[in-house]
Amino acid sequence: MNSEKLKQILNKIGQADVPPDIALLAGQVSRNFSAALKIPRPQHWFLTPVRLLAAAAVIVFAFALGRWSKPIPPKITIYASQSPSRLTAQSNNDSFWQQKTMAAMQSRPYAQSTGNLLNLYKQYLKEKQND
Amino acid sequence: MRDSKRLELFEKLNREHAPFINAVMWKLTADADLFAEALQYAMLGIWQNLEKLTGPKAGAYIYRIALSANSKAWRNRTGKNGQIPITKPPENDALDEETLTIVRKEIAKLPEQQSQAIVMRYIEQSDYRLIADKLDCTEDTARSHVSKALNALRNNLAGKNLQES
Repeated sequence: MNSEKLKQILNKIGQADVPPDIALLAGQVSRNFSAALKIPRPQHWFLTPVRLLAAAAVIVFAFALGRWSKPIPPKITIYASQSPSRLTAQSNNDSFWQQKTMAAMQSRPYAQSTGNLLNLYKQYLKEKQND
Repeated sequence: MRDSKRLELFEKLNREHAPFINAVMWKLTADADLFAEALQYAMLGIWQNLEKLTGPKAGAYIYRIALSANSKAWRNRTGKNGQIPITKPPENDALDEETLTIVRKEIAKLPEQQSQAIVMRYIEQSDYRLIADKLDCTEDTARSHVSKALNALRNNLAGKNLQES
């Protein structure tokens, strides 16, 4: 294709009439595009500074609660103090079976308590010894 | 710039330049679907570059956006099924219409400045001074762009079996 022929074709393209319904089509496209622009975009509400600050405050407060709270003291029963009527081999009631009966009637903190493992073990040894 | 201001400016630019954009787009597409697609790309381009379209060079930017949108639309169309839409012509002019469509498609494939230059020169019938003004270059450079575009078109069309009517 020579240059002149190409220029003729280009001129022909340039002289093409624009159909009147194209303006309607263009108007429709334009309206649709403008309408799409007017749709409110969702905002990242969780990224707003106020909400970030509030979330940080809640986290700090939760940690602070854990730091300030004190553990509930365990219920410790002192075995010796709760056995005023404990009988010994040197007492008047020195029957072997009587001592066994009395020992069996004592409370057993080891079996009832749920405290520190070492204390439990010590208590267990005491009770074992008494038995 | 706030969204409401942007929207106002967009609609103003759209009103001002719509006749020009519609005419150029139609001449370069000659197909309703392709025209609508190219127009959507052009509007998107205008919306994305609103800040640049407030100065004295707004017209040149819009020209660039319109031709870039035309290229994108053609690329999409030929990319989908490789077929070129051909408007139903009168019977005796059928092959000539096919030639015009092929030339339109080849224009869309040209580099941006060559495409703008050739459209302004032969489709808009602008003189070289105006082309140079819109392309922000000298008149000689504008002539060079047009010449290169013609050569590129001729070479690209050489391999195609076109109707020499």
